[in-house]
Amino acid sequence: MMKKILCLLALSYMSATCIADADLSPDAYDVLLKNKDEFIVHDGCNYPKSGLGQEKVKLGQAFYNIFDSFMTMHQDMLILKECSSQNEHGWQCSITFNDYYRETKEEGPSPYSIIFSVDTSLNLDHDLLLICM
Amino acid sequence: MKTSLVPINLDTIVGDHISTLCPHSIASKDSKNHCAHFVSHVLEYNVGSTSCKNLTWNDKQLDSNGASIRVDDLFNSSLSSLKGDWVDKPKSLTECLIYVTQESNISRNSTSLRMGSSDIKHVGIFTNGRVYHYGNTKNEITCDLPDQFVKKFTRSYGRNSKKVSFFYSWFL
Repeated sequence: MMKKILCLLALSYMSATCIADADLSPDAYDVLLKNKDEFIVHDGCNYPKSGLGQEKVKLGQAFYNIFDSFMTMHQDMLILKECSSQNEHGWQCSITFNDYYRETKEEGPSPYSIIFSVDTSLNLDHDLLLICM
Repeated sequence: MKTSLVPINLDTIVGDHISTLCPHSIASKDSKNHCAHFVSHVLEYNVGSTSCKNLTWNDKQLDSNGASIRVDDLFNSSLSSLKGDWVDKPKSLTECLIYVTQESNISRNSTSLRMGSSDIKHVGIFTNGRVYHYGNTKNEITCDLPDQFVKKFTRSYGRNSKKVSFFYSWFL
């Protein structure tokens, strides 16, 4: 539970940092929260133990199931988030999980990302799937 | 003289970034996993349901070919008779794909071998007696001897006493 809280705090801290940097791109976690109750078709997101099947799920449900899986399976973890502009087509956002090795202060070799797209109003773009890779 | 099935001299691109092979937006994102992406651009694979070309609206408009981006898509596209445990690779097979994952991410039965979608998986190209693969930590194409590759990923993936498994498959 403590590890989960620390990770959520890290997400909140990163949000604050993005705002402080006056970065014009939206914060991926904020975008995810805004759309968490939207149903989305996902591709490749049936992460082991996440409970996700092949059917439509809510965006927030997909994220939290994968997040929970990482919390139980990994030790130290980095969570990276980003949104990149698609010009008049809005934004592509992603949240990436990766191992972090304290001894070497290095990232792990196998980052895992969930990727989704939103329009310029930050509403989910249902023409593009939620991709996990 | 034996002709290689790999269309690029991989020695000439060791140290290069994935963006030298891929014109799509994902290539500029170092936080993403590019190991299958690298293999698929080199060998021109586009299997599975997703490629680097269909991740964004902008990429879809480009006049370019997409490449697969997931290790399990490559592994599961290979016929069961043409893949197996790395230790069982036929000696005569001098070029193939090499995969690594935790054993818990593999489903085995008498007729099939399938890889799941766990994040803990990696793929490279075995040719010239070496393994060429994309290092997501240093974000560059890298090269290891097979023994080094096995040692490196046994250490990375084998934490907490997890069993790490290596596989080969013929080129798709």
